[in-house]
Amino acid sequence: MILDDAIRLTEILLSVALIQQSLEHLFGLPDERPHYALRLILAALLIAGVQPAWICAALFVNALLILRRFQGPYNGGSDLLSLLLITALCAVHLMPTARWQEYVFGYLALQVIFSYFKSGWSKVVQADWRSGRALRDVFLFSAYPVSAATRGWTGWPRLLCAMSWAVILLELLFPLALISQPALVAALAAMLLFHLANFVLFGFNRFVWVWVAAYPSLIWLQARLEPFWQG
Amino acid sequence: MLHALKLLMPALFPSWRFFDVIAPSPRIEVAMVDTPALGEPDEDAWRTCRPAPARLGPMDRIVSFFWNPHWNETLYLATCAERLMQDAGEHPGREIRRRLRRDLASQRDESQAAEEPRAAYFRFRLVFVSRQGERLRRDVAYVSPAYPTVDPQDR
Repeated sequence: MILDDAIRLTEILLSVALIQQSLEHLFGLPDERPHYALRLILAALLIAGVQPAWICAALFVNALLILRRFQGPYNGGSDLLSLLLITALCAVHLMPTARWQEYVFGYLALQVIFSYFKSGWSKVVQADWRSGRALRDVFLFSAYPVSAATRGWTGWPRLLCAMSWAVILLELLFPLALISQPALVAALAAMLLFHLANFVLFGFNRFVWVWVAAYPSLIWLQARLEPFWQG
Repeated sequence: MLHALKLLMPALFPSWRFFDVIAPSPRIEVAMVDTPALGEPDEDAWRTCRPAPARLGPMDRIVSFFWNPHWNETLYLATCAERLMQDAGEHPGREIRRRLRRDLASQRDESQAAEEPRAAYFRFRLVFVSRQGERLRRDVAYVSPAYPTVDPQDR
């Protein structure tokens, strides 16, 4: 995938994610609705490909105003990645040369890789994660399980231990997926399943939309790095 | 705007440490009171705010993949509860209060047919749930003053 295609695909997928978020907020408190109504219009224009540089700049200002409105991210990690994507797209359009655009998009891809690897690392160093106790606690008393029935997963400690290690290994080994295109496709499919599981168990729907929007940067980076691996 | 740029920094240089430590988890509870007097309501008066449903059906899950504002707001309320305990100023308390007030208004609308008596004030408290050995413990970390159940400025 060439850089221009990756940028365009990121714009489209991010816009879809922003439209999904914005629609949810249109029925929120009155003082949050104008921000998201504007975001909805800007995202629709970005999908249409109207003046993407200006629209990305406007989305960046809109994101800052939303940050100020909520005094931080509204929806944790998914908002952080949305912000990173908006900022990266905004910066890409401001860069004077293709080389600098590559640096910006490379930074974005690197952060997506870190989002998995650092999460895996911060878990594997914790004894409670290695034993499966931490995941049991998530189901037992965290605010995240979407229903009382979901809390019942706490009664399956061996399954949760296996799930803990599956998540840790998936996250830690993710950077190796950059070695080849088939490996990356397999890794992205596995991580998509992981995000979907998080949605089913914990209701994190926005994470799925936003992380998928970041995948074109990984596909581009892998293609860019492949000649180096092959010497 | 300078403050917003400061808030942007964690997005540009994220820590990406999801769920590394399972910290005590906040629950918001609400009690209806007739007067703004200071004494604490009886233990029986506290109700869990937005309790999770017993189970979700396949159609509920499909819909919530595209449209999940209530649950996402519930997660935001938990974030506000944590920020309130980190002494993040008046903002998180105001966010909780406004959203609870809106919940109470919609409950009132639903129960109007039953002609239930309406309380003029409500209080909320933050209960942090954690595990101690094999048992769960609940610690009340914050109890709010009484707020009117109706505030036209919130509309």
